[in-house]
Amino acid sequence: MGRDGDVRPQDEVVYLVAGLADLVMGGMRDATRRLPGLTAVREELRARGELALKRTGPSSEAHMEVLARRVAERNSHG
Amino acid sequence: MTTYTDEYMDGLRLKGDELADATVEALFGSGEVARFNTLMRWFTTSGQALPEGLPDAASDYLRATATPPEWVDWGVMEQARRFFIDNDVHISTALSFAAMPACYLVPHGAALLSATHSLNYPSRRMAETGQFTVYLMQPSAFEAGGRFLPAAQKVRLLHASIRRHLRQEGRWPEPVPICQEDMLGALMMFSVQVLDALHRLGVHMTTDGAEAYYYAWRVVGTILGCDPATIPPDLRAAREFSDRYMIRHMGPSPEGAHLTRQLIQMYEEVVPGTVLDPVVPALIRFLVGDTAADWLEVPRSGWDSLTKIAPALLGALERFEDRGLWASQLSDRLGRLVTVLELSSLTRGRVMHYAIPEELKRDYGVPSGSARWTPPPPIDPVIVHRA
Repeated sequence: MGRDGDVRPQDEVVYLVAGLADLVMGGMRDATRRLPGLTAVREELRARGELALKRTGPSSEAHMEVLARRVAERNSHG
Repeated sequence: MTTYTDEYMDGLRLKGDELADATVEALFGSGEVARFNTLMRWFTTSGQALPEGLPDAASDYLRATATPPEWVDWGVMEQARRFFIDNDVHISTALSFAAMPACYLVPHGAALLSATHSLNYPSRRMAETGQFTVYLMQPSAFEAGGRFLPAAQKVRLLHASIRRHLRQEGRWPEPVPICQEDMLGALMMFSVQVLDALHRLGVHMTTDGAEAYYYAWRVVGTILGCDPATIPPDLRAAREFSDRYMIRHMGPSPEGAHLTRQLIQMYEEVVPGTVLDPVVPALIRFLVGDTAADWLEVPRSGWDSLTKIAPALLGALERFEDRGLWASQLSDRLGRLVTVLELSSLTRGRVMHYAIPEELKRDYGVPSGSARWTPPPPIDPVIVHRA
């Protein structure tokens, strides 16, 4: 997946649309599996999705979660 | 370094809003609240002449608060407006699904909100907050013809009247309802905590943009009756105040859970269809974290893990915007449309008037000692069928 940097922004939109289509056609999964073109698109989309999540996914927790745990800990001690 | 010690915060709990409190006291004392509310329905824009026949206490107050604070740097305010326009959808999302739940995480705040919530129209508070923010971010918000200052003047009196009602009826366990600490706490939820949520959503922000957004809320806080000397001066100080406030007060409460359920239901009604219904609880859970979401009894769903892709989708949208003017205009327009639709579905086209409630029970549906009248249930479906 080293070509991630070369992908143009409009391609990204195409993948997102394809991703939506993939969701919509969830019920027709068997049929799409038999079409090599769509399978390739789906695999590409999945791989891109994984990369996108790694790239932009939040690495830390919600700020409020940290505070809430501290309060919960304090309450359990007191 | 600890600026905001418990002693300091405790001191803020004893202070209300002197000017607005005195005005409301005078209006109630002379029995002029109804006349004031009627006349004020026509007073909606800055620079408009005050309605004739206003009680003296009211016209004195309206004159004293007619202009924004002198220290406002209008260059920074313009930066804040741009920040708001660039991120309007994200900010609306953060206000609805992070800032509102944060209010519900403070048990005494939840008790106050639930005591003053309109039972007939639960989305009213959201509509009021939404319209208030939209007024704030108009280019002419603070100029003659702007709608923000008159709305703020009314909201400040509304708070003062709720303070008076709760105190008078002996229904508040502390000396001062809506005290300075709680007003500043709320200010933190709408400012620094919204920025936390934007960060969590993967929105790219500049330091200048974020500081300008916070600056705008400092101005708003001052206009709404927070003592400017106590408002944290920058985002670093705001972080400290916000965390200290939340740690002092946050926790589970039946009212908090109830208000959260109402908030979720409201959005389920606004969004057409039922497919997307679980998205709202999932988004709240994502933004406030599991511990706080469990306190608020936010339901879990299969969407919880899916919400994690929201930052990736927003990231893709931002890169799409970077593609050029047409792309960014298209996405700006979509954003504006979403915000306008979101707001108009809440206000249902009405202009919110922020009237002073003459009594909490009638205007806000606060249950009193006697039983409340409820409409009879629908007639038996079998009989309807036969007829």
